[in-house]
This record gives sequence, structure tokens and C-alpha cells, in this order.
Amino acid sequence: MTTILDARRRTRWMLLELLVLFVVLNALGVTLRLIQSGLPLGLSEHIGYAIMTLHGLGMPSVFSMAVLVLAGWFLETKVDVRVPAWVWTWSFRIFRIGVALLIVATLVGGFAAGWYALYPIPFSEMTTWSRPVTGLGVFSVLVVGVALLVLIVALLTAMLRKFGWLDAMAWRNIGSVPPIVLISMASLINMSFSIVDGAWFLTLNLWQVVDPSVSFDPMMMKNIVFIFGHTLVNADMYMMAGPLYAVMPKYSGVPWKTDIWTAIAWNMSPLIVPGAFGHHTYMDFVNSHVIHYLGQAASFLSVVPLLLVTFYGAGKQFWGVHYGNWHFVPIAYGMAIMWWVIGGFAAVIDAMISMNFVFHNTLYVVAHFHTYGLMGLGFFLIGSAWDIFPGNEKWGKRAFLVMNMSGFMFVLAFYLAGLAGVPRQYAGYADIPMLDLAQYAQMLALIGGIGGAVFLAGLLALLGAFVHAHKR
Amino acid sequence: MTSQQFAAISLVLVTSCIVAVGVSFALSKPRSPAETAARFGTLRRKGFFILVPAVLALLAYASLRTPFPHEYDDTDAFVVNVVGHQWYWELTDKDGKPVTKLSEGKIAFLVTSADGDVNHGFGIYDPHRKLWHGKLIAQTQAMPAWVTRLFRVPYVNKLVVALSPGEYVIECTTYCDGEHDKMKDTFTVVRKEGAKS
Repeated sequence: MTTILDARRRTRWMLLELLVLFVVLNALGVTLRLIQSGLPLGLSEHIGYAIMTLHGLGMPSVFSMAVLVLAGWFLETKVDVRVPAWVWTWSFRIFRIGVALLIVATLVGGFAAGWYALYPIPFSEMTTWSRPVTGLGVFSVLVVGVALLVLIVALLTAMLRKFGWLDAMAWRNIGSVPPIVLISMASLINMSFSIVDGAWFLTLNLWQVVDPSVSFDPMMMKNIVFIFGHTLVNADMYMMAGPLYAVMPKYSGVPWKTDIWTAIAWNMSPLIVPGAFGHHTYMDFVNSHVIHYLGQAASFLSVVPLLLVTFYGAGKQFWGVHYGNWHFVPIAYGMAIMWWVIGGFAAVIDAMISMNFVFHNTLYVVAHFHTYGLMGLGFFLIGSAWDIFPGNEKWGKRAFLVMNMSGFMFVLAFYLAGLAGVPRQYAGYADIPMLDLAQYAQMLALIGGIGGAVFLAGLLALLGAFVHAHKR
Repeated sequence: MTSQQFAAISLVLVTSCIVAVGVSFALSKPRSPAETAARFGTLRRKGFFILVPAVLALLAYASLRTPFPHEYDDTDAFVVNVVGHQWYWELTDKDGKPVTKLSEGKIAFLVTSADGDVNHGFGIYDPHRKLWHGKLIAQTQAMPAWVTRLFRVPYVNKLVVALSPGEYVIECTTYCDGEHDKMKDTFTVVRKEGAKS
């Protein structure tokens, strides 16, 4: 018999658990940065690569789950779209198993293929981990994917059951469609597409684990894995616009309704976003040229409609917020939008081939996705969670200020290293045969590591502000 | 490439400043809901009709200049075959002899990975450039030879660059496990015989 918790308790429990995971993964990221700085921590570079893999796979998993939990809460409370409690319970259990297996595969088994396990890296004879560990690592990600897909399908069916395709996608009755429904539909379509694609990639990998005589085209596998990864993190990011639309009017007093532009923009999203992955393969000159052109066009086009609609809408909301209403939530959303725009703009720059030529696979790439991932998406999640479970305002704001400043220091160190051409995914820079570049990279890694550690402290203080408000 | 990196970083900084100013402006102006709605109604309409064409124009411009030129004129280039292995580079000339000294001018790198090996990133660094100018000057991916269901195709990325005399460093830019951060090499570009100094 499944214990069915009510929605509020369930959401609070899941968010706290995800926050603990987030803190652990964050700490691992800081550890990696400190290993890169050359500090004598006694951790080998191989451990660094295993940490990198866990961090790179764990963070998107936690973010995706948190996005679904929060969107699920707002869909349930604002528009009465309900997913059965047993679906939440079981998908979260599956998710836990997946994450636990991933931790075992990376930190115990030494699985260190990087987040995209760029085929055929898990099958090289030189790998530093065993073949069964490859199987475990790949399987763990598949399990996480199943957990997410169950929730995605459940949310999609719940929305379709209540609204139907025509209303949910705002193809009719535009003004009466709640924006959170339209946004969730568009983003969940992207997410489901991405996860099915990812499952395909992982299944092919598992097939080769079981039957080592088969092999696949590395270029095909690279395209598949980037369709998966790129689309998933983009959809996570866009999905959080739903709570933004749903929550902001409470603080601004200005209604935020679906209009024709919103409808067009969000309907375009599932058509454009999956095509943008092509910018990951610009440096594979032999890849299909169609993918390159598509990547360039989609990278630009995916920004335009959503940016205009969401940011103008958000601007209107923020202008509507009175002094007295400057609660933690609108501040967190405001900063999240700011970091989203900055990181997104940096991404579009890298999506131009002439720029990609000198930025691809440098720390510049790492800089941009930490800007809109950690500080964009992360702050959206924090703001939304705070709206449901408000903490102590005064201490929350102070902690948030610390997180913004230290976060800036953290990403700036990546941007500066990327500008100089420091390669990404290096566990250490001591062996770079250019002394100035090696020292510069190490110094920036230390600065970034300190920034990351302070960010983590800010996050814990934020949690303290929440606990402080709830202990009475 | 210097100008590109400067352009990129200044674009990021300028946009960041504009966005930050915008956010702080929005945070500092309390308005009544009605006033806000009226003001933003016109701004949004204007914004849509100005910004959409502007971005489309930018897109058209960027697309004209890109994607990366797929056809190369390497008729008079010095050809170097590059094969990535876990975890070293193998550079040979067209006769298959190891090469570390390349002739000045246009150089065609034919880049791939060894059979049964993994992906690597072939990044050429100029150690004499300033950090602020960016030391990475060119790159492409090295992908192992591949087998389709029907036939086998040698899989080669071709990178043609004009390099002036001096020393260059090769770093692996695509994660390849184990000694990835130690996978490096160097080569020297020497003056063509008879060329004026």
C-alpha cells in the first residue's frame, strides 16, 4: 500500500530532498574547481573526472525533477490540473534509485565518461573503469529518464484531459487559456521528445555493453546525444516561465494573460528548440551541413519570440510591483531573468560559427551554461519554491545577495578563462605547456572555487532562513 | 581571431550592463497597475515590430557569413595528417613520415582519430599570444574512423589555416578520459626556403 501524502507535504518533501542533492552536487563542483586550481587536496585527476561526470549528469537530473515538481504544484493549485499522488510517489522513488545508482557508478565504480559519454568513449580499451560500470552508469541515467518521462506524460495527459489540444496550445479561446498551461505544454513536448531521444542513445549504449561486437556511427551518436542534452536543459529553462506567469501577478497586481503573441511564441518553441542542437557540432566539419545551418538558424530564432514575449511581459510585471511588495519572490525572479538573458546571450554568441571556432570546448561554454543554469534556472526554482514555502524575508534577501555576488565571481572566472582559450573538462592545468596560460587557468579556478564555495554558503543560509521561519 | 574574442566579450559585457541597468530601473520605478499596463501595451507592440526584423536581419547576416566554409582551396597547402590516440597526437606528412616542422603559409590538417579510439579535439594554440587575445587560434574535432552497415568510410576533418613561422602547441579540447589534460604536442612552422625575412 502506497502512502499518499497530500500535495503540500509531498512537494515540500521532494523539494527538500532535491535541495540536499543540489547542495551535494554543488559541493562536488566546487571540489572539482579546487582540484583544477592545483591545491594539494590529495584527490587524483581521475577522481576529478568522475566528479565531473556525476556533477554534469546529476545537475540536469535534479533541475529537471525540480522543474516538474514545481510546475506540477502550480498546475495543481492554479488551474486544478492534477496528477495522481501515486504517480508522484513512484516516479520520485524511481528517480531516487537512478540517482543512487549514478552516485555508485561514478564515485565508487569510477565511471568518468563525461555528461554526454561521447561515443565511443565508454567502450575504449583504455577506459579507466570496467565494462560493467559503464553498464551501471548508462542504466542509472536511463532510470532517471524513465522517472522524468513518467511525470512528463502524466502532466501532459492531465492537461489534455482538462483542456484538450486546441485550448491547451491556445489554438482557440486564446485569452482564456492560462499561460502556465500553454507554457507547460510546449516545454513538456520538448522534454518528452528529448528524453525519448536520450533513451534511444542510452539503449544503443546498453546494447553495446551487452553485445560488444556491435558498434555505431560516432557522428550519429554525437548528434543524438546533443539533441537530448540541449533540448532538455532548454526545456527546463523555458518551463520555469510557467510559474513566473502564474506567480508574478500576485506581487504586481497586473494580470498576465495569454495573448496572440504569447500563443505564437510558445507554439513555435517545440518546432525550433530541438533544432538548435546543431551548434554543438560546428567543429565537426564533416557533419551534415543541414544540421549546421539548422543549428545556426534555430539558435537565433529560438531566442526571438520567447525573449520578446516573456521579457516584455515580465518587465510589465516588475514595473507593476510596488515598493511594499518587493518580496523575496519578485527579486529572485528578477535576478533569474537577468542571468538568463546574460547566459542566453553568451550562448547565442557561441552559436555563431566564427565565434565557435575559438570558443568551442573552452571554459567559455562552461561559463554560459552556469550563468543561465545555476543562476538563471536555479534562481527561478528558488523563487518559485519560496512562493510556496516562504522563509524569513530579511535573512533570505541577505543570503540571496551573497549568492548573486559570489555567483558572479564564479561565472566570471569561467568567462575569463574561456577568453584566454583554456580548454574545458580538464581535471588540472599543470600540464599545459604554456606557463602563463596554465597559471592563469589555475588562478581563475581558485577564484571560481572560492566564489562557488561562498555561493554554497549563501544557499545554506537561505535554507537556514527557511528553517528559521518554519521552526515555530 | 583576436577581434572575434574581443567582440564577443565586449558584447557579453555590454549586454550584461544593459540588462543589469534595465533590471535595476524596473526595480526602482513603482507604478500603478493601470499605468503600467498602458505603458507596456504600446512598448510591446513597438518592440515586436522593431526587434523582430532587427534580429532577423542579424540572423540573415550571420548565416551569410557562416556556416564554416566547407570547401577549402588546399591545392598549394602543406598537408599534415593528424591522428588522435589516447593520449597522444601523431603528425605525419603526405608520405607518412613523422613531421614536427611545417612549412610556412597555408597548411591543411587532415584530422581523425585512430581505429578503435575515441573522439579528440584538435586545438592549435599560439603560445606567444597574450592571454587577453586568446591563445586558441583554430580547432576541429578528431573522430574515429567509422563503419556503416554497408561500407567503410575513412572519416576525416579537414582544417586549412595560414600559420606564420613560430612554435605552436596542440591541446586536446574534447574530453577523452584518463590523461586528457596531458594530451598535447608541439610543432614548429618554419620559413619557406628563399622567402624574405
